[in-house]
Parts: sequence; structure tokens; C-alpha cells
Amino acid sequence: MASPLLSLQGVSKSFGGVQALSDVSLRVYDSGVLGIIGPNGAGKSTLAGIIVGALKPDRGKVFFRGREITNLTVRERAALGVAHTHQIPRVFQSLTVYENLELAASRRVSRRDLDGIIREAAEKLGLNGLLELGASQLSSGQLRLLEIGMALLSQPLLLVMDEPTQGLAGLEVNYLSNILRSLSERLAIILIDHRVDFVASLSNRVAVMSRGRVVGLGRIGDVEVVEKIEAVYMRGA
Amino acid sequence: MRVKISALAALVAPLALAAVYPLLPEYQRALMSRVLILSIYSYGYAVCFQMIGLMSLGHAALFASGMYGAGLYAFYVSPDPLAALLVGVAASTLLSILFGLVSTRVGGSYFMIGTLLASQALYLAALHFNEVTGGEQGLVLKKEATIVGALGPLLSELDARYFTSLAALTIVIVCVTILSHSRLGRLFHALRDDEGKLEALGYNTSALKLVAFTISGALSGASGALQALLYGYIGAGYAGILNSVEPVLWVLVGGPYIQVGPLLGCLAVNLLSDLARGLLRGHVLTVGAGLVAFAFATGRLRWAYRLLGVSRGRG
Ligand SMILES: Nc1ncnc2c1ncn2[C@@H]1O[C@H](COP(=O)(O)OP(=O)(O)OP(=O)(O)O)[C@@H](O)[C@H]1O
Ligand SMILES: [Mg+2]
Repeated sequence: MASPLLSLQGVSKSFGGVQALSDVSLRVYDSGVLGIIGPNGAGKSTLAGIIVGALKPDRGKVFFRGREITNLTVRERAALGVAHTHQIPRVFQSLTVYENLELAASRRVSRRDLDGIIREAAEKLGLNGLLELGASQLSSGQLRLLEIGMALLSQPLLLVMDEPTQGLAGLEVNYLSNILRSLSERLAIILIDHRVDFVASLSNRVAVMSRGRVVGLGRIGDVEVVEKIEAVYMRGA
Repeated sequence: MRVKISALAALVAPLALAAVYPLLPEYQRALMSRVLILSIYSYGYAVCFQMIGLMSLGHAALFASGMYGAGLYAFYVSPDPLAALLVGVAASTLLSILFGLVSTRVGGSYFMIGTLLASQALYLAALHFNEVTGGEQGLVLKKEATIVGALGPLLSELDARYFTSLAALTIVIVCVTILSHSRLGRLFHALRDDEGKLEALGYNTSALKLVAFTISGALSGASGALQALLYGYIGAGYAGILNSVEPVLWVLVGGPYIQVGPLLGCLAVNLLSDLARGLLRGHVLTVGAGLVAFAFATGRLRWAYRLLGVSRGRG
């Protein structure tokens, strides 16, 4: 198999007395979706933080395109092509939708092409009618789409999405599904979410997490994975 | 749309200030001249506090470095007000780069304490080297070393002070308005909203903070330099802590629109405290605090809280 885009080797992280991650190893390849499922407190957001550089592991290493990035900052990883959407969307509240997208794109795109690329992305995400609106006026679904748009405009190789369906209505989830499906042909996505059906329908592989460990990893059809999902959710509930 | 209106207001303000001048009694003309100079300081402070959400408690040092740079040059080197003005602005720019390099690397309360200590150090230095600076008593510049002196053949002392400060303030208002609508201004606002997110999009936020702090310091220093060259006096009192706290009040009172807020706040605090002089023995702080309380208690509440919240939250 080709060498992985991202790999984690034996990563552990604790907060005070809480062991949020223990000895997690994972590999992610150039395209497709790796789903991450697990109950509250399983360590999913901590894992996302370790990958994007917002958190430093206590032990273990992180590699991106064969290069160790364990000690690189968020900004340095962003420059290598790692993007992140947060469990609670983070956008710039005092700017308009257009300005938010512009800030995200302008590090990568020449000034001449900027406007076209922003409008194209907005079109794709269904934000084109909202461009002049202030970000603080958006609904929670629109905020998610804006944050995703910003992440995409930074032209990442790897997109880590932390619970993108949180706070979305059924229709919006379908809409997001379609967007992610077409994206996953071009880049690698790590998709963290509680909605098992949503993750299952999009992911090539799924990692099941519980209490800071990856307890199951495989294709979504694998019996073993399904059992693990059932087990952790019943125990976690 | 609101942004456009405030930008328009910013451009109308100087015209209004020019228009009211003939109507003012002599005392108010003199008072207004002082306030207009301080308004430049208010804009400078707002670039740091309001645009990027960093609350400095050491801007008196930046104001004073402009004042000393200009004043000492005019006093010791050459009685040329224009060159002195440039020296003053250069001095404050350099000092803010120095301050900024250290203090913008830390956040929140460390930033406040750091800037406070640095400015107290400068204040003490100004007192310590009183043979050069004149210390608390200060130095009085020769008339020909001042702007008022240079404009002497054309304008009365009063007119020269008012219109020089108004001209300088107009330039500052135009620059700040342009800045707030520029790409750099949007980056500053984004930095205030969510520094981590901006970093994650690949921007160097420390460098951005340094740029904002330096612009802020240069404007504050320009205000100090003008003060020295229009009144022909420099003194350590301007480097004291009070002069660092006042602009916080002006900006908070001025409200959320940076194009006009710093001017309105500075006018409100200073004119009201002058009115109250008889009653409160001229306690600028009392009046300012009252106004801030008023701002908090009215529609400004949310804005002011957010600004203070951002400043405190940097940790
Ligand atoms: N900054 C922190 N300080 C202290 N404890 C933390 C911190 N971040 C996470 N934790 C703890 O680490 C554990 C894992 O948290 P994490 O947020 O990674 O879980 P999660 O799987 O994302 O949960 P959720 O589904 O609720 O988002 C939890 O017990 C949490 O309380
Ligand atoms: Mg989480």
C-alpha cells in the first residue's frame, strides 16, 4: 500500500488526571473518509487537536507526508495542508461571509482569481445568497457551512471535521453528506461524528473510540466494527 | 451599510469642528485645541484596544516618547518644529516596536502588566534624568522652536493651535478610516474575534499584533509630539499612569465605530470633566468612570463587555 498521508504512532495525552488518549495509532491515506465514532468523552476532539497541532501529545509521534510534525504549530501544519472544522464552529464574527472566505483563501490564491474562487465555493456550499451578510447573523447550519468553506478555501490535503452535524437539521445533514462525498474524492477527511448512519454512509473506514483508545478499526461492513460500535454506545449510554 | 455611515460621519466630523470654531468663546477654543490633540492619541489607542482587542496600560510611555523626542530635539538640537515632529514620531515608533516585540508575545493580563511596567520604567527614567528632561517641572521650548512660533506670522496662537491639531486629526481620521476598511483592518478584526482561528488559517498573528501596536504607538507619539510643539512644554507628568488610563475611558465611551468613536469619546470625557471642574475639582477619572458606567448601563453594554472580555480572555 502507498505511504500514508497522516500517521499517528502511540499517541497519549492526559489533562490533569484524565487520560484523554492512550496509545492511539492511526493511518490516513490521500483521499477518502476515515470516520471516528465514539461516545462523549471518548477522546475524539482531543485526537483532532493532536492532529491539527492545537494540542501536543504527552507521548507518541505524528507524521504528515512522511515528515514528523509532532512539534509543529497549528500555523505550520496549516501551511502543510492540514485544516480543521470545530465542534463549535469558529468564524470571524465581525466580518461578512465574503470577508471570512476571503481571509481563508487569500493565503493560497492570487488576488486576480480570488473573487471567482470565493464565489465558486460559496455556490457549492449554498452560501452565495449570504455573502454580504455578517457572520454573526448566520444560523448554526450556515455557520458550519461557512467554516467548512473556509477550510476548503485554504486548499488542504487533510480536513479534520469535529462533529459537523451537531446542531444541523435532517435536510441540512443530507446536504452536507453530498458535499462531503464529492470532496472526499479529492482530499482526505477525518470525520468525527455521533451519527453512526451519517458516518457510515460516507466513510471508507471507521475507527471506534472509547475511553481514549481506538477499540475497533475497519470497514463499516465488518461485523467486528459493528459490534464495537454497539458495545461502546451501550456502555457509554 | 452602518460601516459606510460611520465612515461618512468620520469625514464630516472635521468639517463640523472647523465650522464651529468661529462660534466658540476664547476659553472653549483653547480647550478644544487640547482635546483635538488628545483625540489623535485616542485614535492611536483605539487601533490597539478596539481593532485587535489588546488592552495596554502603558501607552503614556508611547505618548511621552513622541513628546520627549520632539521636545528634546527642539530644545537641544535644532529649533525646527517640522524636523522635531518627525523625530518625535520616529522615537515613538521605535519604542512601540520594542515594547511590542516583547509584550505582544504574551497575552491578556501579562500584556497589561508588561506594558504598565515598561511605561513606569520610562516615567522613572524621565524623572531620574531630570537634568536633561526637566523632570516633573519639565522644559519650556523657545517660541521659534514650536509650531505656533513657525505659524506666528500667519495665525494667532489660538488659531494656530486649533487648526494645526484639527489638520493633524483629520489626517489621522482619514488614515484610520481607510485602515479599518482595508485588508489589514479586516485581519485586525479577525485577530480580535479569534486569534487561534486566524493562526490556523496560516496567518502570523504575532506579526499582526506587532504591526497594530506599532501603528498605535506611532499615532500616540504623534499626539505627544504635537502637544510639545504646540504648547512649547514637555514634562514627565505626561508619562504617568493617569495618561495611560484615560484613553481606555475615551475608547470605551466612544462606542463601537472606530471611525468616529475615539473622537466622540475623547470629546465627551474631556468636555464633561471640564464642565464638572468646579464641582468635582476636575477629576477626569471620576467623570470618565461615570461615563463608562453610563455606557455599560445603556446600549453600549454588549459592545464594551465584549471588548473587555476579549482583552481579558487572551491568556
Ligand atoms: N482542555 C481539557 N482540560 C481538561 N480535560 C479535558 C480537556 N479536553 C478534554 N478533556 C477531557 O478529556 C476527555 C476526552 O475529551 P474529548 O473532548 O476529546 O472527548 P470527545 O470524544 O470529543 O467527546 P464529545 O463527543 O463530547 O465531543 C474528557 O474526559 C474530557 O473531559
Ligand atoms: Mg468532542
